[in-house]
Amino acid sequence: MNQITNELLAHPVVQSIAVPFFVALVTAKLFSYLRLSGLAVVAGFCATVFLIADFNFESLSIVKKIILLGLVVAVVSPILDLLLGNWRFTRYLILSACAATVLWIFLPVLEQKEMLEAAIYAVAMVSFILCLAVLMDHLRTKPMCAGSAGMSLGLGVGASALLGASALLGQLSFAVGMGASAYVLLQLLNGKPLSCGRTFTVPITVLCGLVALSALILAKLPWYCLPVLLIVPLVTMMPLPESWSQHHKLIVLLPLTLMIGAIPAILIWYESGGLIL
Amino acid sequence: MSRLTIPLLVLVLLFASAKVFAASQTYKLDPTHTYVNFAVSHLGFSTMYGRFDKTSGQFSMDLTAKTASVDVTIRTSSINTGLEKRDDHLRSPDFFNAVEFPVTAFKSTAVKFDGDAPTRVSGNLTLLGVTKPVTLTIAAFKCGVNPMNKKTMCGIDATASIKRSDFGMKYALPGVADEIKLFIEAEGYKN
Repeated sequence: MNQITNELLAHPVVQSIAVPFFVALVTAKLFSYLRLSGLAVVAGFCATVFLIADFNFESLSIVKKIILLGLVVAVVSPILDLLLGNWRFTRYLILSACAATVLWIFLPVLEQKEMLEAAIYAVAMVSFILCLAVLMDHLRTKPMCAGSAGMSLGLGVGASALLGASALLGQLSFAVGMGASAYVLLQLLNGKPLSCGRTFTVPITVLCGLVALSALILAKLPWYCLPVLLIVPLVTMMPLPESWSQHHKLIVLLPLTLMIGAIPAILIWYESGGLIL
Repeated sequence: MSRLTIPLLVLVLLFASAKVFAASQTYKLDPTHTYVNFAVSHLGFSTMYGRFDKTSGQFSMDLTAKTASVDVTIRTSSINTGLEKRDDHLRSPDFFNAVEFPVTAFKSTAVKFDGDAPTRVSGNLTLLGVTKPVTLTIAAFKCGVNPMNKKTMCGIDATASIKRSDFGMKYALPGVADEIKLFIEAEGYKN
C-alpha cells in the first residue's frame, strides 16, 4: 500500500496537476471566509515543491530562489491586500519589487555575459516582468478575468517550459496553473466570484513571470514566446456585453486565454520536434 | 674559512632546491585525451553512457615524498550522450543546470600510494554549487615518454561513484538512478 502511494506521488501528473489542484481547491474554500481565496495559487505551488523538490536552500540556485519567493509572496501578498490595499503607491511598490527581484535572481547568469549582452538581457527581462505585473494588477478587482488569465498563464508557461527542455520548471508552472484552475472552478460551482486582489495576482505575476524567464535563460524557451504570454492577461480586458453573466463571460474568456497560452508551446513543439523521455 | 662558508651554503641551498623541484612534478591535462565518462541506469532497464567533452586541469606528484594533488575542471555544457535533444535536457535545470553552473570542479585533499603508483584520490567535488567529498579509485597509472612526440607524460584510468541527490540533482528519481558511475581517462604532459 505504502509502495503504491509512493509510486503514485512520484508520478509527474499527480505531482504537478492532481495534488496542487486538490490542495488549491481546499485552500480557496477554507480561506474564502477570510476573503483570501487567492492563496490557492501559492498553496498549489508549495504542494508541488514539496513533492518534486524540497525547501532546502543550501545552494541558492535560480530555481531555489523562485521557490523561496513563492513562500515570500504567500506572506506578502495578503499583507498588500489587508494593509496596503488602498495606498496609491502600492502598485509602484510591486513594480519596483518585481524589477529588483528579477535582477537579484538572474545576476549570477548576467555576470557571466559580456556587459552589453547582460544589459540587453536585464532590460528585456525587467520589461517583461513589469508588463506582466501591470496587466495582472489591472485584473485584481476582476476575479473571473484574473482566474482565467492565471490558469492560462500557468498552464501555458508550464507547457512551454516543459517543451523548452526543463520538466522541473514546467511542473512548477503547471502547479500555479492548477492552483488558478481550482480558484476558477470554485467560482463556477458557487456561481459567484471569489475574493481576488493582489493575494491572487501577485503570486501569478511572480511565479509565472520568473519561471518563464528561467526557461528562457536556463533552458531553451525562445524569446518570442514571452510577448505572446503577455497577450493572455491583455485579452481578458476586452469588453464583453454587460448583460452577460459571470458564467457566460468565463465561458468566452477561458478557451480564448487557454488558446493564446498554448501558442508558445505549439511554436516550441514545431521548432524542437517534441519530447525525449 | 669564513670566506668559504657563504659560497658553500649557497651551493648546498641550490642542490637542495634543485632536488625539491625535481621531486615535485606538475602535469597539465591533455584535453584531447582526458574525458570524464559516466554511466547511469535508465528506468532500471538499461545503462546509459555519456561523457563530458571538455575537461581541463593539472596534477602534481612527488614520488619521493609520496604526495600528489589533483585539480580538475569539467565544462558541464560539454555533456555528450550522442543525442542533442537529450543533451539539452541534461544541460537544463532538471540536471546539470549548465548555464547557471558552467563548471564542475574536483580538488584533491589526499592521495594514497601503493609503491610508486597512486591508488586512491580523496577530494571534494563541487557540482551545482554543492561541495561533497568524493574518492577516486585509480585502476591504471603509467608514466613515461610518449613515443610519438617524445614528451614526458602520465596516464591514469580512474573510477568513482556519486549520488546525484547529494548535490541537489533530484529530478526523475528514482527512474533515472541516483547513483552515477564515473570512468575517468586522463593524460597529462609534464610542464
